[in-house]
Amino acid sequence: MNRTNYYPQQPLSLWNNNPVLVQLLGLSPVLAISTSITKGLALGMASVLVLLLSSVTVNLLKHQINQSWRWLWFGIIAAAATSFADLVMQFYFFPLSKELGIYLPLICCNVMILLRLESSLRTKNLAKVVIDNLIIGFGFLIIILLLAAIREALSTGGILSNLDLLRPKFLGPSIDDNENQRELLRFARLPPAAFIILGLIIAAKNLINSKRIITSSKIEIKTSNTKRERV
Amino acid sequence: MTSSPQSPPFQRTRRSTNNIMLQVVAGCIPGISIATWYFGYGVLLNVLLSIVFALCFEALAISLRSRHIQTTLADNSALVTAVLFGLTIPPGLPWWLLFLGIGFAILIAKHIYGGLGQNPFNPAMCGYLFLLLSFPSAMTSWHIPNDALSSVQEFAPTSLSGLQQSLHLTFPFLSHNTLNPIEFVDGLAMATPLIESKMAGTSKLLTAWQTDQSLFARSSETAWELVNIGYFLGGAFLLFQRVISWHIPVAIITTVMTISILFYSPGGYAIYGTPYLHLFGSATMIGAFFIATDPVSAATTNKGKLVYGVIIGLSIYGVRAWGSYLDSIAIAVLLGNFLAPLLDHFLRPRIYGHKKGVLGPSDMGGGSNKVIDS
Repeated sequence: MNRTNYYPQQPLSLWNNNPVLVQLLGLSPVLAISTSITKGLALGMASVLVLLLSSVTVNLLKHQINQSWRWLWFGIIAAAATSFADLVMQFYFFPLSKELGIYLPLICCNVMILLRLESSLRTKNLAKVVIDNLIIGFGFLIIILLLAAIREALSTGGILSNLDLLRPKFLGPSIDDNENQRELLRFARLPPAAFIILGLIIAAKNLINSKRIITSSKIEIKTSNTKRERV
Repeated sequence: MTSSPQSPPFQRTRRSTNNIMLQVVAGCIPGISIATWYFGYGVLLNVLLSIVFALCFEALAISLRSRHIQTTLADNSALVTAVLFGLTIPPGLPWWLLFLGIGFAILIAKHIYGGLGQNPFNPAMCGYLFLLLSFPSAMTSWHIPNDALSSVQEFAPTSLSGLQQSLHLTFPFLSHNTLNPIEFVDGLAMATPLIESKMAGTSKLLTAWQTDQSLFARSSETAWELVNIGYFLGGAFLLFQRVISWHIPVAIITTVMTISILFYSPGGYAIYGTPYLHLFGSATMIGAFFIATDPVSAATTNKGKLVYGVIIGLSIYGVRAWGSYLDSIAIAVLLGNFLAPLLDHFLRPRIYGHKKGVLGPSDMGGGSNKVIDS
């Protein structure tokens, strides 16, 4: 098999190369953290930051990284970037980092990020590395926000609660209003609901995809009918 | 001349899916009527309302999946799901909770997986657990009408005022006064006697018998035992009709009985309840005969059915005795459903003329069965 088949040549897109919906990678933080938009936004932004930092580092060090030891390098670089993000979060957003808990350090185990490091090792152009990883990272961020919005709306009846946690430390202390939250559908806060809603989102995406294929094939049939000529 | 190649004796089967499902519903009727007698019209109202909602959801799902609505609705599987779901939820629950629960059961637990025959979990129990996890306080305390409580009206049939109260509880918008529904309902009752009697009750039937009380009077508190006997009779009907096989109910009941005998110590520190209470003071009978025997989600081989029943029995007792839930049929049955494909895989019967099937990872999950030719 040709080795280049592993690395698609067409430009990445949010729709076709979505890490959560298509590749089903990095699901554990998505499922665990997506109970409120604030937490989802924080973890998604931290993941994008780690992804960018580590992939740019890998790309810059691509001549130094030994082929047979590359996964060790990926692990070390991703762990360093995660530690950086974790320390920044703890310094400026301490209540938020307490809310995120273990899932913030666990970003370095995100398979989505490790696989992106593999492909950014092989990309020659640094700008292309940045653009590709931004696309992948925002695909991750959008889905985690969508899932978090649905789950938060179902479980509390409103969205964007606790938004005050996103205020950094130098703008004053943040107020935790966790106590006066309403409870609408407690099931949406539980892990099974995350699996069910994510499955429904994937099903909706596949439905749209299949409808697109049907319509495009219809157009092809029509065009082929019109172009048919006697030979 | 055309003649089909046949050789006698053949017995024609008249079994169709809708016939089997109707027989399951018929088996529920004694239990439903006894429960309605003791707990008021709310029980019946729950069942009827969930049947209506379930048929609506089923029709919606079928039309979304572009199947033929009439033939698919006629298999009555949604009817059985609705009856079992309506029996598990407490009477007096508002209609929208019923709507949510049965919607989850039909749409998510059944049709997402591909409809009848494809669902890995029991839809009614999925709907019940969805409600229990979402609305724990509403699902564990429920209202019963005044008539069901008053000991004066010993033989009063469930009167029309009780029906009115049940309707007002189920449809809160019907009552024009803005009073809290609790104000016109006297009591809150529990799901089963398991929780109230601290698992050390004596047989109310025996007490009523000895004190010359009427067995069917509401004041003699024989309700749960009679309800369970009703489900036992319905289950016996199903067994007699060969709708279900004996393996699952016998395994469940034997396991629950054995383990409750083992752990029962009348004067001991921890009282886990008499075996009689575990069998007849709870939901064991409907669970063993009607819920665990769902032909789609249960194990299918005979040995698998026995192990499936033992697992369900153990988890029924375990959750009751050491867990925090009121009753454990739904959790136990879902655990059994999880394990059913595994049991069917490892406890496969030998096919006649072949050696025992080869166990391997390649034929898990509906693949072709690899069998060594003898």
